[in-house]
Amino acid sequence: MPDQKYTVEEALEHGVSRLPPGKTRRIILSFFIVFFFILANLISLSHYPQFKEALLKRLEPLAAAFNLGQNWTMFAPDTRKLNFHSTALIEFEDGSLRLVEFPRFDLMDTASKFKHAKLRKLFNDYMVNQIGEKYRPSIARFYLQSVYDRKNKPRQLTIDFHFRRTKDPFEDGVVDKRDSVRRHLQKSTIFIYRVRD
Amino acid sequence: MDGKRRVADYWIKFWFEPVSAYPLAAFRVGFGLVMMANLLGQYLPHYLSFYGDGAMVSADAIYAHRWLNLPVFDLLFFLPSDSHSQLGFLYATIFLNLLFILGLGTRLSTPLLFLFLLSLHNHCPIILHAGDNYSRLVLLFLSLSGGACGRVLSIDRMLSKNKEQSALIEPVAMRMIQLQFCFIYLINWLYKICGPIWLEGSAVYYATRLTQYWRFDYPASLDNALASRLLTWSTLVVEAALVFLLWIPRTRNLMIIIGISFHLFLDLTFNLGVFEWFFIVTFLLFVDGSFYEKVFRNKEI
Repeated sequence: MPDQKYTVEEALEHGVSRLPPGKTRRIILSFFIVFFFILANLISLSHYPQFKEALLKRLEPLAAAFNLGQNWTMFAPDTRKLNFHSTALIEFEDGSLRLVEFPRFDLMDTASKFKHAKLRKLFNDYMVNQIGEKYRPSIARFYLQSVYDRKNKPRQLTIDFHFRRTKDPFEDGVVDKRDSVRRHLQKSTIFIYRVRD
Repeated sequence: MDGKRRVADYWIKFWFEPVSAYPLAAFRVGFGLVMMANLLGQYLPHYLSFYGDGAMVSADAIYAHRWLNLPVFDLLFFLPSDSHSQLGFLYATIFLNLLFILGLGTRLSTPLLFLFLLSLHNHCPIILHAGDNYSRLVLLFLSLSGGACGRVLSIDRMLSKNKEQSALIEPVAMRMIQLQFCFIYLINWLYKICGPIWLEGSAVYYATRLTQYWRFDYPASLDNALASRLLTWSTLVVEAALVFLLWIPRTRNLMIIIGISFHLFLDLTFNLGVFEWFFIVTFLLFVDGSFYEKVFRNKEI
């Protein structure tokens, strides 16, 4: 007679409701676990410049299929040392101009920041950086279509990047106070889109 | 030989030995609520600008530039491209997430929710923040659990004919989320210690100057180089501690309190979408099962 600690009712309270996993299932799951963590973390490390070339190309097909891509580099290894916003200047056939300001999170209240969070990624992380420059034509076309007028067609859209560098507290010996960093006085044109005739 | 046997036994114990179902179920509810805030509060307002007819960046451009024309899983490609169908897909995802929170048909609703979310992410990856990427991984793991996350605190449990059914589960999904969670700290920590701003102590200073992330006013008394150094180095210490000390029973509860406080402070200081909240609810997985059993004893849910 085996050790019997519980009555049937008590055993139902304590035992697993499904049969414990068989050996084959455990082996399959174990392989998946090892494979996943090696793959996922190689992908994570592939964002580091030294590994980028070697790892990313080989892992891309696997990562793309199930979007296993991971990037846990928030504020690391370095962080952005400038504040910015961007604008689009649209020029029309008759020479008139229209200025569009892309969403500015520094000027929004807390609720709006939450509501528009998805825009931040596109406009602040992708559009103004090298990683997202290939999407600039699509964004330009979207904005040009939104102001399209058959009698006075838009001819050109220029994206400008307005910025202000943050002072280095150790090199410059000055701490930038938080209320002084909003004025973006430097400007650089990052993209021009001309409409075909 | 003994050493190998011990490793194998430990492996089986860690991944497969039954544990209380309550931590995973509490996590399911918390995680689902944060997901709901993300879907309703952040996806819905701009959904048609990214997924509708005439989206800001077309799916073809994303497929070519982001996915390099590699095969990706995307159910949205099977739908008509009109805005009604695309919006219907988001509502279906929200409905599945509701079933997931309530724990109704969890065995099916969890993998379906994962596939729907995966499609949303693959269709327009250029709007995803770290919280989105984390939620996708978590749902992948929960999909493998065979409905274990709905064993208790669920309508499935209330409808079950076998009310005496055990509240124990195989912990594979729970362990994968816990490990992934710690890997994120580890990877981020490794990147940080490679950066001069983290070692010299100016990282918090630079991060708190980034106006796009501001939420509430940072105390003026902390607006100096000394405070920045202390906060920068404390961040490195806390993140390293979270990787290891959450696994040690004696330090676990303390680390849960430190970890939640750390993320609450970050959430008050930086506006990072729902990322911090996904992390805060993950600490529910580390709370001992006996705590939940005391709370939910005799409640038949």
